[in-house]
Amino acid sequence: MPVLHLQHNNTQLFINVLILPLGTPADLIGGQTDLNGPTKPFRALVDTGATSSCITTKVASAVGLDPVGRVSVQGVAGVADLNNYLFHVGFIENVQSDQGQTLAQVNVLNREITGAEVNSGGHFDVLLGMDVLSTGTLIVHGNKHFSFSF
Amino acid sequence: MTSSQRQISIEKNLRFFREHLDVLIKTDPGRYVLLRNEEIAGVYDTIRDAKLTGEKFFDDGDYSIQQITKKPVNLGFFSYAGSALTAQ
Repeated sequence: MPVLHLQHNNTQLFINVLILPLGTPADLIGGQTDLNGPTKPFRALVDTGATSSCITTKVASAVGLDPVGRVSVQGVAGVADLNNYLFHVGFIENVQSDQGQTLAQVNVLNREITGAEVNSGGHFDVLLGMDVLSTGTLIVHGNKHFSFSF
Repeated sequence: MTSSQRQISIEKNLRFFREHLDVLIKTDPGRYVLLRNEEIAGVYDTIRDAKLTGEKFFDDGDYSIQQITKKPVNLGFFSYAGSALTAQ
């Protein structure tokens, strides 16, 4: 079970993630790979108050995702229909090689995630909601550390 | 198909879906409906199944998928941050 050990700033939790299209090779899903190729990490805000994850327009464009439909999202001014996407989420973990080098490996969540397209105002690239967080264990420590295992 | 054509197609399918939602929610609540040209092409247990079927049979990409629910997604605090719901 992959375990990510990360730091927080006492106000919010952020995790660097990869957003991968549905066509990601099957041997990657639920598995692990070295971080390479055209993929780049995005800044994800952890939000236990969100029932679902979402991505910004920048992420959808960068990954080359096409919307699969629309989804109704509750907001302060009522309900809005937003583009909905289907993708995989990969978590980046630093591991030590046999030679003592620090390598970045990607652990891809073993399920597809759907996410609305939102405008975050630059605050984050991805919002990780309970659809992702409920697949694992999130522990927030008082010493500016937190961990997520899945 | 261009992204703008795709967006128009998605909106038309959404309108059709909404017109039939009251019936669908009685027969297939929570499942996923695959739509093409304002018609129902199939109903599936998972969005993955609907997506793979769409890719297999409609290689022009002209289809969309809607979950059969009336419950909106709640994005927590961010839902109420003002600018959250302004994307296309």
